[in-house]
Amino acid sequence: MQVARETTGGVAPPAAASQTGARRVRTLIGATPGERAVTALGLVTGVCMLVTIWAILVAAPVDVVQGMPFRIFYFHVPVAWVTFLAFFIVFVASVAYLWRRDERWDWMARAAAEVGTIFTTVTLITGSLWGRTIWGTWWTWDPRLTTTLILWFIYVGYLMLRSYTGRTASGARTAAVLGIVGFVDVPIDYLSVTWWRSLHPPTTYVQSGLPASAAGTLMFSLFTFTLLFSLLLVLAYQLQRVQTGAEKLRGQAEG
Amino acid sequence: MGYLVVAFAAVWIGIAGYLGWLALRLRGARAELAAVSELVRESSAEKS
Repeated sequence: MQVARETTGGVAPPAAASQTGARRVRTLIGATPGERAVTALGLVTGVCMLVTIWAILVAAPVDVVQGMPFRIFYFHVPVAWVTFLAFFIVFVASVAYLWRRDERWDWMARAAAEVGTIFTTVTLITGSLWGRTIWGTWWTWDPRLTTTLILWFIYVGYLMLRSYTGRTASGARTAAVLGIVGFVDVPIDYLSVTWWRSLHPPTTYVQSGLPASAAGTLMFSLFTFTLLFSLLLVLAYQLQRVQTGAEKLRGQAEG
Repeated sequence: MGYLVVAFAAVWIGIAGYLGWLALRLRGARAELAAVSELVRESSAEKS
């Protein structure tokens, strides 16, 4: 019973009281009630990805000034959007964890931070490749680039902290504080192009400077990358849940 | 065109690699959970 209570963050359903240990574990392994939904999400994401690749490479118009490298924009912007979304989830989950002390919020924060760090890395790489073709340099200490790099360091630091502290309550509390404080960089990063003089195209460019076919491709790409992020987040969350369950059972077996 | 190809590769290899790594870790964690649960079941059966 103790394991079920712990792995569900202290909220054990009444029916769990009658479950045997093996059945509890089967519930944990056999995964969540939404396993079919995860498979469906994976399939839909895969199909949308294929359509997005076709739209970016074939359907989207070629920019007169920038030429082919402009197509990088169609996945650089969605990946950057997903990055902000991921760190917003880390922020919300961290606040919720400190408030409710429910372990599930901690798993969510940890999962979103991991996926968000991957997407930040991809944002930096694709931005650097676009910058090389348009600005003639791989990197410049532009406000947008610098604040994005700081964001990457904050969440790499977050993941290192999680790895160092293990699955302890004090580690989760410390990480939650870092998840909240670290989020301060997200609005700074987003607004950096308007606050300071920047080489980076402003956000208004996306809102008003695109022809309809380009805007359509961008919107569909945004939708697809959000789906992909959701899929990765669900899998990363499941990983946290199963790893915590295994660690607690191991502790029970040893003790 | 070369930069576009490299950027595309960076995105898809990066994300597909992460997805594969995530799936492997999840499978490993589930296998570990099954093994430990079996251990717990055996030890509780011995006690009773």
